[in-house]
Amino acid sequence: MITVADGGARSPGALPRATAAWPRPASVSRPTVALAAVALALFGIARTTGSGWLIVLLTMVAATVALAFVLPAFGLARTTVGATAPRDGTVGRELEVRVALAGGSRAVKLRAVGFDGGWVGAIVPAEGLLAITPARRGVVDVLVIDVRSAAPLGLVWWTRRYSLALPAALEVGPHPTEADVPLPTGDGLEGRDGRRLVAAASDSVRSTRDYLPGDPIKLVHWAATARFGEVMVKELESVASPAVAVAVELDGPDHLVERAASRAAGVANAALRLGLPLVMLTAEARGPRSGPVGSPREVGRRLARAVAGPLPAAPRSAVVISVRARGEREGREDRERREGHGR
Amino acid sequence: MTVLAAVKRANAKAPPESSVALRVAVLVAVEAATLATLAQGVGGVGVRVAATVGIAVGFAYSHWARFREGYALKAALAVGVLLAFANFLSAVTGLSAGAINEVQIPLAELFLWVQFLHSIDVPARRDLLFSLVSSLVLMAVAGVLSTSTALGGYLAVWALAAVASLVLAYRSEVSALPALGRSGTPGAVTMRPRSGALRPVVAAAALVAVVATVVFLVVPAAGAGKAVAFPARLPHRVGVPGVGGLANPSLGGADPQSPDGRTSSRGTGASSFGYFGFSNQLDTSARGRPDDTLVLKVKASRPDFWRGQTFDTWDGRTWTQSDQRVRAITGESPLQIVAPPDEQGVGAANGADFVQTVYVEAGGPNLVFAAYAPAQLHIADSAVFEMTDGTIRTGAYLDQGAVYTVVSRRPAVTEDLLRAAEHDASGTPASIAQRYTQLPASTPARVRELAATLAAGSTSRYDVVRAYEAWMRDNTSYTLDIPKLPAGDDAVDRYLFVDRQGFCEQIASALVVMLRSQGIPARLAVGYAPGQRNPFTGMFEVRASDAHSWAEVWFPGIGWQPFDPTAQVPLAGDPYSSAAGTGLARYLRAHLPSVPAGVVRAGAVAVGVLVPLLTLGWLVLLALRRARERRRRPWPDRMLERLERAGTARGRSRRHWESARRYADVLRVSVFPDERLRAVADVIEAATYGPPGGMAPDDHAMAERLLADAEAAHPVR
Repeated sequence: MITVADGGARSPGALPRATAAWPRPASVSRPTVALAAVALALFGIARTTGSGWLIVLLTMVAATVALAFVLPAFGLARTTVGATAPRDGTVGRELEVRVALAGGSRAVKLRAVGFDGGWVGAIVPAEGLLAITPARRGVVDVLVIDVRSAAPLGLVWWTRRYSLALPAALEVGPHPTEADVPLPTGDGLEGRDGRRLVAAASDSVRSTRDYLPGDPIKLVHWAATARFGEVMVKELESVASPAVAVAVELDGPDHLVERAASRAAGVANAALRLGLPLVMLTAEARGPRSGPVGSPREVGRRLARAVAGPLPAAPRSAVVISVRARGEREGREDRERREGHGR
Repeated sequence: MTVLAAVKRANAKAPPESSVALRVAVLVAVEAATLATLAQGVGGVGVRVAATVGIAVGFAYSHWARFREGYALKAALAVGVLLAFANFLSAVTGLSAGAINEVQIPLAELFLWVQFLHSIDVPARRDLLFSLVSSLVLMAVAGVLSTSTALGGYLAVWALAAVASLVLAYRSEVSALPALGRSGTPGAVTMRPRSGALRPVVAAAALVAVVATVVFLVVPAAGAGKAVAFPARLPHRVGVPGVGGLANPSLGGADPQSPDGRTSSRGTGASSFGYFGFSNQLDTSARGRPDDTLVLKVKASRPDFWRGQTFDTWDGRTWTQSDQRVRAITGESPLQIVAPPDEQGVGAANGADFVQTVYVEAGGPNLVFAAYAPAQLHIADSAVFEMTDGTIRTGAYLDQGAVYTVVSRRPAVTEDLLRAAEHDASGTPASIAQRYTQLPASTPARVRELAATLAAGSTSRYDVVRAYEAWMRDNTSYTLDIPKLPAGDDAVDRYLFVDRQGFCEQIASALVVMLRSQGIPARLAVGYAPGQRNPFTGMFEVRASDAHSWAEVWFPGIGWQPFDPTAQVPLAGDPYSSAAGTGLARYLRAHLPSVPAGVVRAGAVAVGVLVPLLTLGWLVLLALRRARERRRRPWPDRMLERLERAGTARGRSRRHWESARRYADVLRVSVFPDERLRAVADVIEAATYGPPGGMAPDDHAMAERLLADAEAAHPVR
């Protein structure tokens, strides 16, 4: 997952071509302003006093300022940046991007654009981890890194923006909010929360038998033991849990959309924690998507790609939990839609 | 943001700077600027101690106490600044408006005190950079005060230290940021530069030097045309005996004021730099040879004759000043010089100001040397004396250290303008015509005939002058080695027809005599040739050997114009390069140690032939040695190095912990997606770790071929 950006001079093999913009001036430091002001004053004084030394001094200052203006641009033009990024991220959680810099400016600072996190410094060549915190949910195909340099004189800062096409996109999922698994009404599930659904779906006692050495103590059936005066243990029969389908509708204002995504992540993760089979119903840029989800990472990836749009039909046997940007509504509508989908 | 918030933000405490290297670099720059200023004679003992030892101690204390708040210290420093300012005010109180120039020294002392006080409280990088900028101001103060090339040493040290300070400050700023973290600790480690700052400092300093030199060659030279105050100083005022009299102590017994004819009016003998022309008369029969003593430094934007006085009466051997009347010009500086009515050319009224500040380096005559025609004189005296020819004498001796400034005014004359001037005598005032066409009856007829012959056909005075100059250039030569003029001989006749050689007094006399023989008013002027321009100080360095004489010719409607076939002085209206670096090569040639021609030739041979040959030989030897070393290395090492080169060229170098296989795998999935790399790496590792002789040469060849094919398939773009 290494990609290199160097202004298009070299392409990183078969990877998508990485591009870098031309360096552009970023800021002028206060000493530069002071130097320019002093230089102007020197010129004025030299012209009125005839002091040749002031002209010599002026040329030195002018040369310094001129070089301070152009050298960082030359340095950045020769600076190459490579980076590797993890596949997954979560809004608000720091992640590490490995960045390598080579050539050009010796001392630079850099930061990833679109992420929370300040500038970090580097003496080139350098390779290390850049801590960034995603601020938004989404799929990052191109990692944009700003490299800033004022080397070697430190008076004028130039910036060069490197766009690094990631071989595998960084999928930033929403920050999950704490949530339980709310169950829809109907189907005899009224009033139950996710834990009761699990309890309902867990192993049931088929019969009892005498205790045999090696039986775990948790299988002891205390009521039967009391009744028969001998230690009795349970014989269990497994019952399949019903699948939970989290339908994520992200149609609405941005802040509600992100809140809904976070809520969906919380619900999905809660379902996973309870061991419920989970299916997520989302809309992606390529169309509706339905599929089982087995881990919080997959939840994040699915929600990273989720956009507003029509949702797919839920599996017939699934309990649908709808999370909507415009407010969560459960119950009849969901059931009706599920039934409708079933037809 | 409100103003108050902005002020608070600007004055917020900056993080302390712990880089000793940066602090030392700034200290060196500040000390260089301080010493440069002190070298200009600024300050007493207190300032000198504070500005040298005090600043160094202050920097050391600042570093030691950089983490302290130091509110009490700041308050004390503020009081100190106020005291220094009060001291400055007391020093300048009472100075008149015309003496603004006198403020320079107290102002420089104030700067030094402020620099010292500031050095005690420079805890942060921002403070150090402020010190650096203030050292620039201090260096500028030294530059204004300096008239010597010696400032160059201080300036070089300051520049190097300043560049080093900037480089180090920048690296310190970047290093203060959270660094690219090592694995597992992003942003948590302190960044340490892998290499020292020496190379960037040297590179930046070299670049600044090169660019500054280029800029210096094209930037306009310092001018002095719009000054609000001009330097004027008279270190020790000693009056010249006799009102308006001419004194020239450097002539010893020939001093016009000599009481006994053996010693000068100052009781001294003749100096090696005395010029016999700065007297009441000028004997052209023999020329003294002034040495190369630096006598004047003239700060001016262009070269000109630094004219001292003129002679009007010629007797065939000697020039004299027939009119010794003087007119006292009194008042406060600047003194307004109004030329006698007949001397005023109409062009003088609309001429451009030409400012010259003259620094006397060796005590000489009490003549005010300046380009024609002086209009304003800034001098630290209340009276000067104007001769009837418009030249100025001071009432006091002009000893070493005396400084005066003259604003001259003459029209921007060009050849066309001079040619257009009236040729006949109708436009010439009678007094000018009468006084400046005088010739002795003894003037040889062949001199007059030559003059008439050469002037024939010329339609303007200018062409007549040029015709005479051309003839002398073609038929005579300049030399100082001619025998003394025999008694009774006419100096001009002997120069033109006998010796055909002469020195400037004879050449100029010949020009004046020939012009006068044709009724054209002319006179002999003496003074100094422009001298050599020092491109660093911007001053013309005038030596005693630059003492010179030339002719001045009257042009109706224009006035007096100087002519001299031996000195390269442009007309006032001629273009003159105004770049600061004008004459830099000439100045360096003249002041760098002279190298014998043989050594120069040897050097040229070395540079042109030996250096390339030796370089080529060294490169060949280097290549051979590397090839030998490469051959000695085991095949797996050479092959791994080749793989590394291929990978590095495509943007991914090998980490030292990566095996050949791991590196090949990384390359395959990143910058060098070719499956053959794995096979190459397998062969390398088999050759490295397998039993000796376990690999067939064919395997090596196959691996090399595979890598070559892979490189060809994925060229570096």
